[in-house]
Amino acid sequence: MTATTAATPALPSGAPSRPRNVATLAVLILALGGMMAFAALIAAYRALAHYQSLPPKGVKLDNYLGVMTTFTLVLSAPLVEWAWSAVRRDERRQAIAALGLTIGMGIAFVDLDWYLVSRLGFGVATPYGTVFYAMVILAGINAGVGILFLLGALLRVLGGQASGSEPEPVRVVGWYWEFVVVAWVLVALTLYPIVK
Amino acid sequence: MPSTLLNPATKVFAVVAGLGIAIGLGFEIAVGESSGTVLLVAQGLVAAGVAVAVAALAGRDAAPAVPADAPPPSASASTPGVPAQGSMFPGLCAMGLGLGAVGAATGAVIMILALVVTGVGAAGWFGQSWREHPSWTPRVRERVRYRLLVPSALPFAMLALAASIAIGVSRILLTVPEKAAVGVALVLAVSLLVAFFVLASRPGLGRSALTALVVMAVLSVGGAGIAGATRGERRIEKVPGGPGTVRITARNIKFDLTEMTLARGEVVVFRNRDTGTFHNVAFYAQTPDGGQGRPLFNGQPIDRGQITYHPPPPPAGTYLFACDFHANMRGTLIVSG
Repeated sequence: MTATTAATPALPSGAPSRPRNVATLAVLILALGGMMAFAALIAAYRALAHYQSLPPKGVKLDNYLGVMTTFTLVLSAPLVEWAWSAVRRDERRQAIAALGLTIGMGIAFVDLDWYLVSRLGFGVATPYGTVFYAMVILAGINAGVGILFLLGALLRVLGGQASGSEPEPVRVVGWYWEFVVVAWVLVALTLYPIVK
Repeated sequence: MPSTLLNPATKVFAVVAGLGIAIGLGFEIAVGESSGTVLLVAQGLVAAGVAVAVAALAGRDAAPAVPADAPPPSASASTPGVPAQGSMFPGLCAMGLGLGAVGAATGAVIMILALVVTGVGAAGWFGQSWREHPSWTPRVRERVRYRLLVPSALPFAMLALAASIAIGVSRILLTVPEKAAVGVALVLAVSLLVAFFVLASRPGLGRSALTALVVMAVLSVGGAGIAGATRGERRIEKVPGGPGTVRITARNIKFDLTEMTLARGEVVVFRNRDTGTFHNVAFYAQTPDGGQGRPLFNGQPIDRGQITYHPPPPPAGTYLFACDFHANMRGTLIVSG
């Protein structure tokens, strides 16, 4: 009896040495899902504009605070890129400094976000208040998660588990942090009359 | 070959992305309603992002064709070092996030529990992935243990244990009636004396028995403490000569006072009975025309329950008090000397 040669699906031989891309893919999809959540909130805010003037009469937004919060977060974006660049070049000390500074800026942003919420002067009981609070609080939670990721990357660098030969932990955290920055910029441009 | 350049998932997401952006632009031209456009275009951009990510990172998801009579693939691990193990930590994180969603709707106790569960899950997950890395050798493990865990984690754990016991006992003592609190404190003190006497007199007490004793003690004190915190403090009488108290309540988006008289050093006890709606008590200077001037004190907002404010006393005079969330909630504040 001759052996059959029909093609049969099977596991590929010679599997990759390490499934590094799983975390990268997971974090990217997490960030893209988060972006969709922010898009939904921005759409809800824009839908409100059909029923009332935004911001509503009587609501005074502190544009200076909104701009400073945005600047704080935007300034952290080059820092995380510096960390990524330093890890690729095996500059461990620079990477530690850059990640530490990014974490510091992130904490400053969360603090400013909290301060901003505590000084709003209006409640959540209106449609405008609900959407406003949802956006700024989600941005704060988002940054909190990003800070935890940055802390993990810092520990990886300190422990020698992220280096020039294995930079993925810092790269993926850098991408997530860029998402945090972009999401807040979109939120700030929607809520605050920064451009006007 | 084209079929190997892009995997099926990438193709599906690319089509979804194209459709989302095209429909979004068409919606903007036809309807001109910006919220729908934002949603559709964002959905298209996100799908495009997923398509690029899957194409760049996920690799081919089609299995190669091999002859039916080919020998089975070898069972050797494809990852160097210790093979990755199944883990309970992702499930714990998911449970914590689910609890967080419940906590957002129910209250602070569930929210704190959710944060603790998520934190433990995330830390455990990170620790497990750390230990599965090829660089985690017995030598590194010993180094981390003696240079990090023993000198830092152990004192922190002991501090947390002592703090949780102290907080638990204080909650119990503040909840039960005053006379019962004395009895509870005595019983706790005697129990501690007896427990340590037994421990000291039995040098051969096993480690597992000691652990069981500590766990039982912590669980009973912690459980009673949580029960006490949930029930709330008993009514505590005002100490003669101590700081006075001004009570104010918010209900149906209104304060129960239109005029508040505050002496220097007095505290303000604010109760919010509009569960789910944030209120606070803030003090403002009064403009010459009776309007709201510069802020003097902004109390922490709460959406339920009670909070005690310790406002810095402004000079004697007439001011405004208000809720920062609702313009109609305001009244006159008179500060006496």
